[in-house]
Amino acid sequence: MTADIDPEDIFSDFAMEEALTPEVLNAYIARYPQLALELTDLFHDLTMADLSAAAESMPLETNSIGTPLAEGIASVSAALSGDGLRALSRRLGLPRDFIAGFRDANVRLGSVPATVLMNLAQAIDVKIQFLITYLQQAGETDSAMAFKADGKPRSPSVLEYDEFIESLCLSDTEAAALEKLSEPNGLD
Amino acid sequence: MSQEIPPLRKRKKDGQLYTRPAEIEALIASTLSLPFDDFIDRAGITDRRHPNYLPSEILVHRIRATRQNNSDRQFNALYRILIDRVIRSCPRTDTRIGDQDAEIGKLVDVRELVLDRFVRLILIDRGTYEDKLDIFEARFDRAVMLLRRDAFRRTSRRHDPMTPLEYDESGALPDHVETSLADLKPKSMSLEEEITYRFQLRRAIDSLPDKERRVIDMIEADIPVESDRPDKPSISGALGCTPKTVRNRRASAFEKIRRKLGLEKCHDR
Repeated sequence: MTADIDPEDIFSDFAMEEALTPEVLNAYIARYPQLALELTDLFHDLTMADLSAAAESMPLETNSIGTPLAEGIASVSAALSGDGLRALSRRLGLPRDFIAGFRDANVRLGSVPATVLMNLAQAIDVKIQFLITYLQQAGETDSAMAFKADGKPRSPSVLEYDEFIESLCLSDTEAAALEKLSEPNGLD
Repeated sequence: MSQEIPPLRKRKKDGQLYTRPAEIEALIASTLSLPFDDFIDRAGITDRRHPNYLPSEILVHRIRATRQNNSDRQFNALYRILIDRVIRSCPRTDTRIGDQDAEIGKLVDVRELVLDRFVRLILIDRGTYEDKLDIFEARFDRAVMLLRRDAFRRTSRRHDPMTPLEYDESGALPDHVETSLADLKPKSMSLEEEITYRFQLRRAIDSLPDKERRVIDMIEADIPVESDRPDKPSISGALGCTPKTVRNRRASAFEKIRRKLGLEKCHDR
């Protein structure tokens, strides 16, 4: 009966309970005794989170934010340019224009499949948030320049992902490499 | 003309749908007609006490809605604010070593893992509905806490207080043993005092070694110290120790909590 239980689901359900009281903890431990320890730890952490949020409504100061993702973004930039670009291109088995298209924001970020972005981040060995922020910034620089030049909000060179791929005229080998890059955990 | 707010789709193990708290539903409804730039202005407010503060749940709802309108501009603006909110929900990583700014490595790892997981969920949801994101639309702070716990586990560096155990694992029971945390609570308190007290109490519990903290929370949850039925959970069974050890941990924990609360009271004066 309990063999197919995914603890992550149970923890998520627990966190969704309206009031996290000792009684709720008791009920969950009774239902899932094998998770008693983790539920107890979770109860403590969630209670801390709730109380921190409540306390944050009272003090006069808010937390200051940590350093932005400058280092990570620099890593992405290095991986998408110069030697990094060539190495990445070889590693993925995809043409340099594919990588450069991301670097130069020639492809609309919103149209790129999530799996491609995740695998690309894995290939560069950066966290996905660094890649996204880098691509967002590249896109904005690009459209800002285009706005000054001709009054259009976006550079005319920005393509939808499918159009972008079509424009690369990939060989069969490259198409296979792209397919791999498009699969969940395709680089594993 | 009122727009309908789509219900969440994830279900609990008992089949119940995840639901947003009523105040979140009301805020979503009241902000639907807000022009996007005004919405973003409000979303940028980080002070929870501000009357126009928008809880993160509302922002998650809104960024998920960009799946329908396919607006990169809206997605990008909301994405940045949400990432900022997630970072704020993580333990602060900055510190100073001598006269230099520094970051605490393990906390940086945790923060990056939390962000990584959150961004993945957002991205997946942009393509097809990801019900694992539902909890962020209902209980954002708790959902981030789940990610933090997972990140701590994955880095295998969960903070483990090095306070030496002050009880004898196999020794005799101390004379003075409280039966419940309620014994420590001052009598009449205002709502603000109650929240402050509960926060201090929880921080005191947080400072305990894991073994004692678990005993305290399980006792409060009315889990018996021992059980004669194998199917009935007990503290000693869950922790893999004898009932006597559980009682010793309880006594030690109460003593520390009492001292901690007493110290904090002195500081307040």
